[in-house]
Order: sequence, then C-alpha cells, then structure tokens
Amino acid sequence: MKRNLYLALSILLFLPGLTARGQEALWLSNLPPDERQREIRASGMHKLSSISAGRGQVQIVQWVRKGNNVLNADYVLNSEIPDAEFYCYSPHGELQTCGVDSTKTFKEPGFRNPVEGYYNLYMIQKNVRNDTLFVQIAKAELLNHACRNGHKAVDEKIRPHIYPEVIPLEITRSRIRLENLHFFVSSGDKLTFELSRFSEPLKDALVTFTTHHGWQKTIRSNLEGEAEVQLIQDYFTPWKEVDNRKIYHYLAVAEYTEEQGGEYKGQAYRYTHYTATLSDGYYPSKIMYSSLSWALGLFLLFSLLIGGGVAFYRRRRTRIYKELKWTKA
Amino acid sequence: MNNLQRYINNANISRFRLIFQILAFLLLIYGGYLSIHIGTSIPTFACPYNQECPGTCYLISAQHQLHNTWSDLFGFRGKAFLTGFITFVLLFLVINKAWCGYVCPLGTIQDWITKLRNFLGVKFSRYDELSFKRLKIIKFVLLILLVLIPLGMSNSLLGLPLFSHDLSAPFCQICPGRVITPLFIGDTSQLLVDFTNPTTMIMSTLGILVLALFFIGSFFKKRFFCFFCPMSALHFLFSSIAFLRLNKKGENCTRCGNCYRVCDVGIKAIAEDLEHTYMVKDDCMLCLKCVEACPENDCLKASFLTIPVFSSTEEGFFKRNLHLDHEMQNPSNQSNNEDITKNDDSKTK
Amino acid sequence: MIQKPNKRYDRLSTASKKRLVIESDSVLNELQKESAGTIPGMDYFYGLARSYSRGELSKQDKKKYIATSCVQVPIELIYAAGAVPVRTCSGSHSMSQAGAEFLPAKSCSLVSATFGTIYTDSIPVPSKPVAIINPTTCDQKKKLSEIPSGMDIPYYTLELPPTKDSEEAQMYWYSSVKKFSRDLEGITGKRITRSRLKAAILKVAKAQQAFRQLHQIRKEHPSMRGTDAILVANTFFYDDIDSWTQHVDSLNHELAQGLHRDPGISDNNAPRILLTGSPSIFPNFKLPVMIEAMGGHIVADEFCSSNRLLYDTVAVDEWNMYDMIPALADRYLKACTCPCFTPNQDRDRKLLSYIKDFRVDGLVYQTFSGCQLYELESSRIGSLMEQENIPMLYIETDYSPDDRGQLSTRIEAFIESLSARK
Repeated sequence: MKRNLYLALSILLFLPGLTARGQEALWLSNLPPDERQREIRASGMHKLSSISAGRGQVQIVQWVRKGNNVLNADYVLNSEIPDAEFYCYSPHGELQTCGVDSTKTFKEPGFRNPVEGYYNLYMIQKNVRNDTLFVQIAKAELLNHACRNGHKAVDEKIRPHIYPEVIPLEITRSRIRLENLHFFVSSGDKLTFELSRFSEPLKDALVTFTTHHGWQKTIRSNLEGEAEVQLIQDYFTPWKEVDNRKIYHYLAVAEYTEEQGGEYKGQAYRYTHYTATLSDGYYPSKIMYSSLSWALGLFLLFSLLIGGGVAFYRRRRTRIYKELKWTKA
Repeated sequence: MNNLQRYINNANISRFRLIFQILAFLLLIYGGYLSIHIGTSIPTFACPYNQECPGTCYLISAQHQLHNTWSDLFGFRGKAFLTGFITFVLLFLVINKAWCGYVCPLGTIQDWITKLRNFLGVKFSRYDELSFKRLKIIKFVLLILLVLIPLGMSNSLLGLPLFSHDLSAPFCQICPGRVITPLFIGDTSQLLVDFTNPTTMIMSTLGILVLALFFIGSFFKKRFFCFFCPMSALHFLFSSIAFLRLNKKGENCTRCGNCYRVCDVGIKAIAEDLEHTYMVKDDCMLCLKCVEACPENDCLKASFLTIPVFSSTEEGFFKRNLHLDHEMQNPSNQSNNEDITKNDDSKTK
Repeated sequence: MIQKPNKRYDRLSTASKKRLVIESDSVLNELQKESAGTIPGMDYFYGLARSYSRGELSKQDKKKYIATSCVQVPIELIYAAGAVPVRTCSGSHSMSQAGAEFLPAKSCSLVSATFGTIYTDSIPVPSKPVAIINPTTCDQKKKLSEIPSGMDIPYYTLELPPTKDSEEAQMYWYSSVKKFSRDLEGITGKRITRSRLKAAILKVAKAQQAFRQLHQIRKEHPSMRGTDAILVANTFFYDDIDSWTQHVDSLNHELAQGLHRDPGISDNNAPRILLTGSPSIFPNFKLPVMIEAMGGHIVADEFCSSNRLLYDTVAVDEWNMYDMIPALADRYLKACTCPCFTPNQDRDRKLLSYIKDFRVDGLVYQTFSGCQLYELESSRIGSLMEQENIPMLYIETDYSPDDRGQLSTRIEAFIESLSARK
C-alpha cells in the first residue's frame, strides 16, 4: 500500500524525470567477453579477471556493460564512451593509475599489482539529453586476497570506503557481521545497500536489483539510505544442476534525480539524473548441495558400527582362544 | 645446577605436559581472537577451517603450493614452496616430535578421550606386532597421496588426465581436524556431506568416516589417529637430525619393559633395543612417559642438543610412583663423607 | 610314604626343627660376632632370623597365609587378596635331609630343603598356609607338587613360560597371572578389587624403594658386610612388610650417615667379590661367611633370594585392573635373570653392569649339585668373565657341612690371588 503511494508520488513529483529513464545503465563486470576469454586468468580467492603482466605480476581488469539483463548484457566498446573517467582507489584510499587502453575493442579499465583488500573502481560517464545531465557512476568493489598473504587486520581491509569529493552518488554493499576475507555472497543472503551523497545517506532513491536469472526487485532506500533485498535462492530443484563453483552475478542500480541545472560540454541542462550501479558475484547457497543432517547421521552410524564392532571383537576374544591361521594351503 | 637437575628429574612430567597441552590447545584454537599469527608452516595441526586459528598447518600449505604446473613449480612459485618447506623443517627441528606430544590439538583431544576411557574403566587396546608392522605403512601412503594428488591436478602424471578440482587439498578433506577444530568456536559448518558430484560425495563421506574412526579409535586405543597421521610421517623423515633427542644407554637397561608398557603409541624398540642410542622411532611423540617410568639411573634421557633435560632416575621413579616426599638419602649428598670414590654418572645427583 | 600321625614322622619333624635352630643360631652368632654391634639397625634383622628359626614369626591376626616356593610369584596379588605371602625356600641342612627321602639322590639341596620345610610343617607362620603356590620355574620345583606327602595344603601350579622374549610367551604369562588372581580370590575368599590391588602394589613399592636404596648405598662405599645385606633381604618374608620396610629405611639412614663404620670393611684393599649362582638362603650362609672370613668383601650378589628379590619395579600406566595385572606380570617376567629362561643374555648384562658399578674384582659362582640350570650357564658366564678379565671361582657344593675344609682352601687361594692382582 505504502509502496503504491510512493510510486504515485514519485510519478507526480518527478514527471520530468520520467523522461530521463530509457537510458541504459552502465555497470562494471568481472566476466570477460567471449573474445577475451583465452587471455584472462582468475586471480586470488575471488577470481578477479586478470591478465598476466609478466614475472608473476598481474593486472586486474573489468569490463563495462550496459543494460539490466545480467545474463546477456552487451559489452560496451571503447568507441562508445570515449570520455568516460576512471578512478581507482586502493584499499588504503590512494588513487591509483587506472589504465584504459584506447586501442582495445572493449572498454577495459584495470590496475596493476594489487595489494590485499577491497579496491574501489569507478567509472563516471556524463552526457546531456533532453535537458537532463545523465551522470552514470559504475562501481566495482573488488576484493583481492590470497591466503598466503596471511589474514591480519581483516577489519581494516574489508571496511567500505566512500569518496564523496569525487563520486557524487555512492552505492556500497554493507558488510555483514563477522565478515572476513573469504566472504562470498551466497544466494539466500540478505543484502543491504547503502546509498550516500556527499557523505550523507540518501533517502528515497530507487534501487533496482536484478539476479542472474532475471529476477528483479525494486526498492526505495529508507531514511538511513539503506535498501535491503533478499537474494532469492535460485531455482535449482534438480541438484545436478547446481554448480557450486560457478559464479553468478547480480546487479544493483540506484537512481536519483535532482533539480540541478548547468552546462556540460556546451549543452545546457536543468535536471541531473544520477545512476549508480554495483555488480558482484554470488555462489549458490550451500544448502542447495550439502547436508549437515546427513553428515551427522552418517557420523552416528559409523560410530555405532565401529564401536559395536570393537565391543563384539572384545567379547569374542575373551571366549575363544586366539589361534593361528594358515591362509595358504 | 645439580639441584635444578635433580628437581626436574624428580618432577611429574605428565602433569607438566597436561598443562602445556592445554595452553597450546588454547593458543592454536583460539589464537585468532588475540590476532596472533604464527605462520603457515606449523609442524602440527592448526586448521584454517577454524576461523580463529593463529596460523595454518604445513600440510594445507603444501597441498596448495603443490597444486601448480611443473613449470610454475620450478619457476617463481617454487621459491614459495621451498621457503615454506624450509620454515617447516626448521620449526620442526627445534623440539622434534614433541610437536606431536605437547602441542598438537588433535593429540590433546585424543589424550582427553583417553582420560575419559580411563575414568570409565574401559580396557584399552594394543596392536600385536604383526598388525603394528602392517598398519604403520598407511601413514606413508597417505603422505605420498597428499603430495601426488595436488600435483596431478595441475600436471598430467604418468599420462593420466588431470585430476578433478574437487580433489583439492585431498588430505584436508578427510582430516578430522577440519571438522573438530571449528567446533570449538561453535562452528558446525564443516560437518557436511557435499552432494555436488560423486567426487565430493565420496570425499566428504570419507571425511565423516575418518571422523567416526577418530573418535571411536582414540577411545579404545591411545593416540589412535597418530598412527595414521601423514604429518607424523613427514616428521619422521627429519627426526634423526632434530635438536631435542631421546637417548638410551643400553648398558644400564635391565629390560624390565616399563618404558614399553607405558608408551601410548606402543613402541617396542624402546624396551628391546640395546644397541642404538637414538630412540625416537615410529610415532614417538616425546611425551617422555618412558623416561618417567624407567627405574634405572641414566638409562633414558631427553636432551636438547647435548644438554640433558630430563633423565630417568631411581629416585624420580619412586617419587612419582609413591608420591612420597621422603628424600632418598644419597651418600654423595653428604658433605662429611670422605670416602667417596669414583663419582660416575650412574649416581643420582 | 609316611602318613602324618606317625611316630617316625614326629621324631623327624622335631629333630629337624631343633637342628634348624642350632644351625641358624650358629650362623647368627658368627655374623653378630663379626659385625660387633657396629650397626644397631641390624639387630632387628638378627632378631627376626632367630624367631624364624624357632617358628615364632609375628602374628598377624586373622590373616590367611599363602606359601610360595619361588620369588616369581606375584606377591602383590596375594596381599590384595587379603592374605600374607611366605616364601618357603629354605637354607637348612636338616630340612634338606628331611626332604631327601622323597627326592632323588642328586637333587638340589634347596629344593629338598623347601620340601622338607613343608613336609615337617615347619613353615613358621601362626596358622597353616591355605595354599602353596608353585611356579613352573626350575624342573625340580615344578615337580614338587606331585610328590605325595600326605600334606593337606593344596598346591597351586602357577604357569610360567620357559622363554620371555616372544610375544606369545608374554601373552601366556598374562593369562596365567589373570587366572591366578581369580583363583586366589577363591582360595582366600576375598575379592581382589582395584583399590586393594593398588594399595598392595604401592606397599610393595615402598619396600622396593627401601631395598634399592640399600643397594645404592652399598655401591657408594663399603658400609656393610655382604652377609648382613643378604640376611636383610632373606628376612623379607619374616615380618609384616611395613615393619620390615621401616627397619630397612632406618638401616639406610644409619648407613648413609656413615657413622657406624666397621673398620674391617673400610679397608679399601679387600678384594671386592660378586656372588652369583644358586642362592644362599638363610641359614645356608656357608659360602658368604667363608668368603668374608678369608678377607673378601662381598659387595653385591645376583641371587634371586637377596639382591634380585625386590629389585625390579612395577610401572602402571592406568590404575585399573586391566592394566595393573599385566604390569605386575611384566615385572615378574621381563627383567628376571633366572636361568630357567632361555635365552638369558640379560643375566650376562646384569653381571657386567654390577661389575662396573661395584668395581668388582672377582666373581664367585656357586651352584648346588643337582642344579642343572646354573651349572649349564656356568661355562657361558665363565667365558664372559674371561673376556672381561675378571677371575671367576666356580664352586659346586650343597648344604652339607662336609666340604668346608676343601672349600676354605680354595676360597683362600682365590682371595689371595685377587689381592695380589690389585
């Protein structure tokens, strides 16, 4: 009921903004296009796409895709968005060089020699259309971790950072309690996204959440700027179809319009429409393919069998005198 | 110095060991809460499946490091492997197999189960000689598989196809430590059967079987799992050059068999062998119960490099057995005795 | 076969007992004369030996007595079953003559003396023993149980294996001891419980500790005559074990103080003698007394009745029945150097370690004629001593006093040659 009210209000208040929709969301993806599959290796625990840069060094790369269809979204070519700006922040908050090779076919931002922790990679693409400046902020939160580097100072490494001086609209996935460097989203998890604008939580923004198989949900951020969604268990009824090592992707798109006029590259506009996107991977939840009760049951069964066997053997030994056996005639 | 030596030789090492084991257990299971980090080449079980572990056991590092192609292994990754291996060996050499007897949390758990069995008055089992000889090969087989399977996952061994990725860290999948150590921080998530494909099903079921064997086996036989432990097999390769040594003087031995009788892991050689000096054999975990039980002066001795740490003494034996405080009147302690002839080392100091 | 209530039997019995008193008194007088009261702690043991010979051992009220014929019977079990063990091996010539009627001419004097003691009802305990435990150690002892004698003390055969190294032998001995413990319960009517057995093991362990302390003290300096030490060990069964332990402790205390030094034995030049072979049991101190009279100093011996009596220890891992009984069994089998076992390399090693620890100059190997086991080992020990360059004197004797003259000559010569070598 309340949702419908919100929807009605939003339509009334942001009628002009409605025309702003229709622009496809741009987002950063870890999944390489088919043409690039051969050169790409999975690096670290979270299988970040990387190219070998010689002598054991890697360059982590991402791709820009567009559209809400997570499974079949198109890869954005280099030529389509030539003015996109890229910002890459290391886990300590330092701005790093984010190389985008203009000779490559696809838009492929990347950074070298990652250290342990969460990297924040941003792409800001602006264009003006129909009196509105569309600011598309594509974000990727990349966790780089390899067990051989140890597990110290976990809390610092996983803390989410925001950069309000540069990024106008931030969307972050809230860390769950006791999250560590090996955390991976599983289907069935409750995800909370935090939106902030200039370090202030952004309330009432529209968040659209899409899963790999196309399930979609639209929510509004609350007063604290949080939007909560439960990632549904995907439909894997025959357990043979569960591939517990395959990474599926979700997409969260946050949108917000405000009356802010100005000029961009010679074009005037009256409204600014911000779109922030965040995409990440998830695994099918463990309960789809593993069973704790089976394990407990088997454990008890084995214990009984073995314990019973030993007790029976001891019984036999006290009665029957142990004799030599000849095994071969 | 003499008084200190005498005090140590009379001490109840079993009680000291119990306390030390508890402390080591607390460190290796709960160390992560204090952000302690002691490396990834620990020569005993310290399972990373337990979130709060302060380090990882060497076997898991080895299995992961061996999961590389030959070219990588002989290239830059080989450096990591060698470093890990050398760290392991150096750490091991310091206290030799006492890692098993004093530090290993799985060993501690087995000792507690043994105490429970003792309390319940259930008889323990022993292996007869033939079974002992046959079964002790299993841990070496496990060690070899533990090395070959990860290699086989990245390289083709003997023309076989690459092993499935589900066999990653094969020993960890059947190790009872993986299930047991997280239980102590309240995490039961490792006790599961993985139905993804036949390989994972078999491996996780094997893991459950080994867990059941661990509990029931160590209930009936003291330190059952240690007999099959590949870490013990790996230790055995370097045990002869370690610093903490257990030596025997065959000429002082009366072959009373006390040492064999109290040995948890059933090493007969400690009682029978009169020629060799170095007595850390098979699964010896340097618990030093044999030294405690030896009633002859200076027959069994635990020494660090050449410094004697704990020797068997007659006085110590009786003191421990009888809990008596009566001090043995040893003439060499009396200063008013002029008639002391040669003071050989068979006397209690 | 002589029936019990018979005049001839009565005469034999009384005469033997009287002669036992005479024998033991003469030995004790000699011992006391030599030591000249320098060690007050020994008085208790002399007193005990005298009471033994007169058949007046201390009365432990309401306790059953169980006789044993060899040291390899686990006495802890007997204590745990609420009875008191008494070893019946005897050193009395008169007793051996009493028993000689039923035994072949060439039989070991010790065995016939043991039999004689039993036959003439001379086991010096207040009440008649309820059983005689007879382990199958040496041949002659083994067959004792079959000699009909009209005694109504039942014999119990404790089965000992003839070897001790193989696993089978050890397993056999375990089942034997287990069976023995159960049968003991039937004999005494008392259950062997865990706490009783533990208490018994610890009680005997205290005695072992005192005994080993004495052994260590003798290693340090010549504070005691060898004959006195043998007597101390021989009197182990004559009194309540706690009382015996206490007196040995105080004896040790005295010796350790070093205050009572007999000038005769502080002479460092006296040749140090190790005795081995068939055991000299009180009152058969013929050989030890003679050796000391000739100037030798007996520093140690390898007799089962003295130095080996309480030497080995029991190590229990878990104080439960299933571990205590095998621990006991191991103690009585594994370290035993009796020649009834084969191979017996442990005896060689023990002799060598005593020679080294006690700085022995010469070995006296005693065998009783008829004791084939010790006789058979003599050649091996002889060649071992040759290798180690230790002179060995081989003496074959028995309980009769007839060969004193010849023996004293030989011993004198031996001791002189040892002194010359020093």
